[in-house]
Amino acid sequence: MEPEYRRFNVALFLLATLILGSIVINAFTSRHPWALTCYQCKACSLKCPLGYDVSVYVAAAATDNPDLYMSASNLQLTLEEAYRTDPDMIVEVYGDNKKMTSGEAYTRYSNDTIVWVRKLRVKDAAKFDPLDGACDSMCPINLPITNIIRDLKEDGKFGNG
Amino acid sequence: MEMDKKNLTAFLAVLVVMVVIVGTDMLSPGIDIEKVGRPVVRPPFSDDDYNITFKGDEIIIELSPEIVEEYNGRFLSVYAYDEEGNHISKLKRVVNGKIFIGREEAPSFRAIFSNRIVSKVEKGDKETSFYQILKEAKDKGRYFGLERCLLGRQCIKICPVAAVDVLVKDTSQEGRGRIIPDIDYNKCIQGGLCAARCPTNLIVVEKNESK
Repeated sequence: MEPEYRRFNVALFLLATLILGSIVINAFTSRHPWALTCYQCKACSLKCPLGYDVSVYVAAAATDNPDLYMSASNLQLTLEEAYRTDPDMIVEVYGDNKKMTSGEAYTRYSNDTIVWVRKLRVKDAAKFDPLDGACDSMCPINLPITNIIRDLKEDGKFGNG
Repeated sequence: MEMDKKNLTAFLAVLVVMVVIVGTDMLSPGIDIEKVGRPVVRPPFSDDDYNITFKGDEIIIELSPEIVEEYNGRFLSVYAYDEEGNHISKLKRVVNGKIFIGREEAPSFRAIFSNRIVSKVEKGDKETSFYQILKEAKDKGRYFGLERCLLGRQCIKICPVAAVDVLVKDTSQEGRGRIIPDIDYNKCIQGGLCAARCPTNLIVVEKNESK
């Protein structure tokens, strides 16, 4: 092999190692390294009574990023709660079909208007999660998903539970 | 042959490491569970605690001030029995002291019984309307109402001695078919873990008189 090709190969190999290594480091930093074993079958999302895309909890733990957004379909908040939690949260005003950010809705509707939450950050999803544990029962490899939720519920950060 | 020996040595080395790790873990003293008191299932909500009304395309459940104080911003379960005798429930968050369920909303869970024991909890059928199931239950005199159990089985999972092993149908007159955990007091060590883990305070701890 030509020396320049060899150097190119080595550089790419090191880059790949760096990227893959950072994923592992992030998973350990979040203190949920088992999250790496999730293969995103999304079975957990099927039974969630809140209609959360639960696999995003696991993805957030694997990447140590509680600010990832996940979808929801059965969570109602007052507009005030939604706006105070995150002005960029995507909401749908109850009885209306328009989706908008809670910040935008806040300027148009009264504070006690009831909204459906359609997209919210993982840390906020954990805050409102009743921890009923339906997702745990669905996981084919028994990942303790409620541990992530319990961890985030404390302060919206990983590393407490 | 040379390779096989090397593989065997590596396998044995990994096995030894695993045995040491597991052995160390098993030798650790574990968690001491302090006796905090007898866990009891709270009585069901009464008619004075909530009022269910069908208004246009939605069901509105208005809660009494005492219930609002405890549950505003938290989840409760609205349930109704279908014609096959299954417990159909919808988990909803209490917002502004009320629960709103639209006509299009599907149920969250369907609990199937074997005698009075919950043998299976399935995801509710997406094609059915919880509004219709509740209305039908009301019209045909089947059990329906508001309950605390969210069917997550957290109490069963956390109990170290399996004193809470199953969820059962409350067959008492005032229970109206709600679902509750069945606590075996012969096994219970009164650690209070079930009460601490229950997200809706269905199980509470009666304080020890001796303490």
